[in-house]
Amino acid sequence: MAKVILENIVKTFGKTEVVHRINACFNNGEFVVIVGPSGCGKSTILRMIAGLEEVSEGNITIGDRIVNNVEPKDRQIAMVFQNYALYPHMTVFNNMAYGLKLRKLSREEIKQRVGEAADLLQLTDFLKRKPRQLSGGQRQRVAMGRALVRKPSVFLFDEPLSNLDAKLRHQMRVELKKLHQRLGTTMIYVTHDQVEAMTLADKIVIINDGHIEQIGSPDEIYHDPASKFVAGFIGSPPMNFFAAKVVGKKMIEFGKGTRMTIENKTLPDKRSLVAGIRPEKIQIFSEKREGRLRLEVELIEKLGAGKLLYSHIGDQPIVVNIPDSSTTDLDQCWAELSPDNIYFFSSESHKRL
Amino acid sequence: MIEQRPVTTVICHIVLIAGVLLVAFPIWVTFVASSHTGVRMTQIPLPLLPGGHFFENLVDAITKGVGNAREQSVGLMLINSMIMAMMIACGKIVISLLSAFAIVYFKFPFRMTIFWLIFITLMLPVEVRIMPTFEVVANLNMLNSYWGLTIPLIASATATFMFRQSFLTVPDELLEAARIDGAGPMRFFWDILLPISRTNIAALFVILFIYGWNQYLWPLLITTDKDMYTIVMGIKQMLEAAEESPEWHLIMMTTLLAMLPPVVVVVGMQKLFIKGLTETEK
Ligand SMILES: Nc1ncnc2c1ncn2[C@@H]1O[C@H](COP(=O)(O)OP(=O)(O)OP(=O)(O)O)[C@@H](O)[C@H]1O
Ligand SMILES: [Mg+2]
Repeated sequence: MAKVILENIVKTFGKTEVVHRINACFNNGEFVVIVGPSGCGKSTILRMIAGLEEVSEGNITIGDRIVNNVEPKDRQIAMVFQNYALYPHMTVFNNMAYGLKLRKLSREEIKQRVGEAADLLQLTDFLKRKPRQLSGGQRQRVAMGRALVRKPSVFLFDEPLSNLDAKLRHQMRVELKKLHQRLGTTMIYVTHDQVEAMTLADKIVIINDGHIEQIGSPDEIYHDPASKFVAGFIGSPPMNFFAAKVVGKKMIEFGKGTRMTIENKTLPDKRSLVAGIRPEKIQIFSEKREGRLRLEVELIEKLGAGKLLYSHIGDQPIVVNIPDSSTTDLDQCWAELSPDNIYFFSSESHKRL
Repeated sequence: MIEQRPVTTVICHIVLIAGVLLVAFPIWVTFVASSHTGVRMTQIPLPLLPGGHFFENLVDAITKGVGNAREQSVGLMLINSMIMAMMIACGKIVISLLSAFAIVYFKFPFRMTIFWLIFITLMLPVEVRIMPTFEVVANLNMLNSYWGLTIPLIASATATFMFRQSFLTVPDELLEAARIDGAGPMRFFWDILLPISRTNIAALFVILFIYGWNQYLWPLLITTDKDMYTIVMGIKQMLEAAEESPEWHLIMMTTLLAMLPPVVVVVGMQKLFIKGLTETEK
């Protein structure tokens, strides 16, 4: 078990800088999820922690030593790859045991550790098989087992579930969470799936284009996003954004002349800004009232639990998440955007205001 | 096959059977000739059905030898050929495995230059560089030795290229997983790369063994000592019986024997061979 500290980490490939001076501290036993869109540098960060990629600048600390020049095998880490990277010619047992053999552990010790991991991951029946005789989910578990038997102080996962189908992914997600609760080892998990991030993480790190947008607990990230990017990335369907203008002390205008008074919030003294509200925070009603906005329904998507309503306010698209409990008649409805649930972002820097 | 009409099938079979006959007929003649006495082989018409002296001829050829003054027994020539073919095949595989490994997995200056240099040597088979090579081998005192027979032939651009291509298809993550598991470069080579290249190695072995076995010009050039004769060149020597007429029955028996080891290798490794050429275990 160990802390992981990233200090001023920069990574350049040739002349292009792909990771820009990031700082982060992951505590002992935390489940950290690094999340961001494709190509933002998540894997690169993880691989630098693993030692598979050198850092161009900065320091990585694992436990209480700087590991910049430490070989991957000596960093007390274990990594699970997206494509599992199992040794194709070795049995499941040998796949898990290989690292231990190289570390010259005794036969009994190896047997015992592999046995334990196999038990935990329900692989006992497959120990004699080769990887190609396993299903995707089983292979995934073998990869997990290979990491487990090393008893590392930090687990690193690079999109370990992305090759599984939705149902299995959900199941493995739950198992992974349980595993973490049982082991209490620091885990760093890379994904581009925000659902995985929200459900698994103690701490989420949101990366965009090689820099950190925000670090925080899932709650903080959801309720208190630091930027428009974070607000749009976390949450499904994504937050609705409107270009808005401040037209009075307590008045904003968006779309073509749709005005709204903001009561209990001080408006930033900017002419133009971006307002955002989550689809699930918009309430709809059958009666027209002061401040409510008329919604012309354009499309309804049924989700099973709840529906999504697509419409426009002025010329700006809007999505509303309607819970099952709602009895509002959708042919004639008005939306109420409560000022408490509206976030404001700078229209230049996209930072939260 | 797209069409499965009877006519097509019949035509296919006729073509195939004709092909087989075309290939098989000379071998049949060889076999027939090796089972008659030397006298019968000088009479016309030549026989088309086997005679009854096969085993006599076999023992004769292996132990006593053939040709002018019974210079060299076929047995020894077979052994020489075997050693040469094995050394060439194994040597080529080891060297090209290692050089492909270096080219794919190590970053060193002029890596690509070296790769292309190796690749260019594909254009220079033994026959082209035969004079300088002979000079080098002679100066190194390797004439009439197994080293002289094999070393000039032992570097293989083709095999290096093949292994390079096959290593390039091994996912990087496999190397990285091995690194995290604590395997250094040679461990990775030995424990992972080699086993997953198993079928490729087998396929190449078959090809290279036959290549080595069939060497003719080079052994002819550098062996003057009869103890070093290989069978493929030996057959040629047998024909140079100056005074007597060639002993066709024994020569054909020798030819038959010379064909045998490649056949054994191909049949024995057929399964791996086909696997190596068609499937990749990655
Ligand atoms: N070896 C390399 N050489 C040059 N550029 C690289 C190399 N590896 C990654 N990059 C670049 O670095 C950036 C970040 O890559 P990285 O693999 O970390 O993305 P990612 O966030 O993991 O994306 P994904 O979700 O698609 O896996 C990309 O723009 C990629 O093109
Ligand atoms: Mg990635």
